[in-house]
Amino acid sequence: MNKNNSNTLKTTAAIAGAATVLALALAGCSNDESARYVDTKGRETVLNVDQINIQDLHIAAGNLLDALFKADVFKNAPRKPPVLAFSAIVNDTTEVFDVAILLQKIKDSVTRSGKAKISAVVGTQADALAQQSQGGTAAGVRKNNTPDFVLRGKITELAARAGRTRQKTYAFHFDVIDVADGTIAWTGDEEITKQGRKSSVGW
Amino acid sequence: MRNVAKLMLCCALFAAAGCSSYEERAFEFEGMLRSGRYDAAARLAAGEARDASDADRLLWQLESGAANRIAGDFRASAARFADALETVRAWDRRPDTLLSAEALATLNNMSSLPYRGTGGDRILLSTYQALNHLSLGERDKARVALNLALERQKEAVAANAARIEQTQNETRAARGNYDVGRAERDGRFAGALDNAYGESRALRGYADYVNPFSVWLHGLFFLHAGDGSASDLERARISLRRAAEMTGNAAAREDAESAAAVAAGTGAKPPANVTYVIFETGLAPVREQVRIDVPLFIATTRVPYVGAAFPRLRFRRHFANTLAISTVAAGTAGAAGSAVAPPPPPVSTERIANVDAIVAADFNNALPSVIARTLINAGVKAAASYAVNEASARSRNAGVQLAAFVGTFAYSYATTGADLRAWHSLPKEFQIAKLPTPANRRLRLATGAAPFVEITLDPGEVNVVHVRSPSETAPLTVSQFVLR
Repeated sequence: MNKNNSNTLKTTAAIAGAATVLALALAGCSNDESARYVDTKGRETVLNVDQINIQDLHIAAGNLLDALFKADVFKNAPRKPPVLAFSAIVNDTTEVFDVAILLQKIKDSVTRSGKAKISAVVGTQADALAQQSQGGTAAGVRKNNTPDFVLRGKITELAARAGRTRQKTYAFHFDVIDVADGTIAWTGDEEITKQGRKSSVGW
Repeated sequence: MRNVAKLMLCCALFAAAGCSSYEERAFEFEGMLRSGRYDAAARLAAGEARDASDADRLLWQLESGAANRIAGDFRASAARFADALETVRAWDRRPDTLLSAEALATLNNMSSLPYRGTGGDRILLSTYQALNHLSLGERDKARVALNLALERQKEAVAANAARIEQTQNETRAARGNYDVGRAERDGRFAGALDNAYGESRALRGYADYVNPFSVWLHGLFFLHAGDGSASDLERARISLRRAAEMTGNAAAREDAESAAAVAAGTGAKPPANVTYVIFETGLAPVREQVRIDVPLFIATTRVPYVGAAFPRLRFRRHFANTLAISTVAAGTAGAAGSAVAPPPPPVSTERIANVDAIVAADFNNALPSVIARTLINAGVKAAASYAVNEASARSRNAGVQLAAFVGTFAYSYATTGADLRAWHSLPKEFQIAKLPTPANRRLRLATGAAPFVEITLDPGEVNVVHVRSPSETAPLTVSQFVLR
């Protein structure tokens, strides 16, 4: 093999090698469009450090309601089952997500448990009721359709970073207010911490 | 040898086509903003965002979000900024160094790298999104966006530390091909750098990537539109105090004191019947290309230096300096003989954030990495061209020599370009004013050169008016929302 042929071969090999690497890289980047069902509460769902995932809401709602039912908050209610209203749940994180998903899960669980009825008074109306009760004015104007308890909540987050490791803690904080005397009948916290490591080099 | 030259020529043509397109479109977009054709600018940016390559998509999404805001379409702006946020998150999940993109950048230049948004871009993306949500009456989403704006400031500090580490690693790894440290010690090159970057280096940003406007808006929101809890009031107090300390702005200081009093229980509630005016004036600096000779460490005496392209900031000189806000008398003058109180003197907006300084701080922090990468890129390409031409000279074939010369020259010419991508539609300054809401709720807003605008404030205890003026003569765009 003469020198010119050798150079041509090397150039061709280099280009072929580069094309192969490029093809492999593109294949690696392509999306897998084959959809399948996964268990919403299972381990196969997509998990992100920087976002609230659906399983986070399942875990938080489940654990908080377990704690609420164990505390037996409604045992001294003026009627059985008591009527529970839902005030706004404040999303105080850095991510917009539909708080209604969380709220609906809680409502479903409460209804199924039979421990309370859900009031049609919602959001700002329930907020106002909670504030009135804490100011001592709600009890005086109590009517049949007035809820006995108001549940309110706030979700906050705390981010941390050490080198390439990122961590986010989402804290779900709920209060149940007794409308009769404006006291906080129950308070519960649930924290979900997620951690991930970002690689510095990749394709 | 011919094949190598052909490959370089193809790369050159590909690179040349890609570069000119972005710069032409960005220039056209900016011209539309300066001349007040806001709808056209929004359409252009939306089209570019749709058709852009992965590398440039974020940039056009940001431009599209901002242009739609200026055009007054807050719903479209919120959607484009939401897209931009998704793009940022997608890039953040990928490694900092993408070998495929780096390989392309080595063949071409740094504009082949994905635009992931500067620290300042990311803070303002969330700040603008908060303003969009407030304009749309979505306070719950505004709260989230403002939280993210402050979080982005912390992330920018970490990102800068990672970038410094990455530059050090790249410089170390490239030492076999090109000695960056030796080049930076070269007197002629160092002098040229000082000359090119004197103005931007003289501009000092705010501490730790802070944008005082974002901090102020965060404080204002939690003072007037928070849930009234101790936690929200404390956040208002801290943010307003920080904004006041950074800028000396009197309105921010007054509100910080008010938040402290309410939080401590010595003030009944935050002030009411007050109107805030936010004025975004001018356009932020753009990047332009400057050619600087970089030293080559090749064993030859013929070409010791080769031209390389570096980006530098060009600051805009023409903008409306301030906005005068005056009350508008109800109807014409009172009946003859009746006592009419003289109108209060106009209130002028004052600077709360110098975007020139914020962009310059981002630019200055990234500059060592840009210089190191450009040096490595130029050095390696020049050495390769030199090797190709030397090899072709040894072949003694005139055709091969000509092909090698044309190929390497065209390749070098077309791929020598700086990364000039930047968010063009940002303002030069954010300014604010605070004034008592007039009884008739009417205000006149004037900058001088552009036609004045009169507005009637919406019903509410705390009103916010937003005014944008991209250039001295462009028509003012005015919007408003109620905080409480």
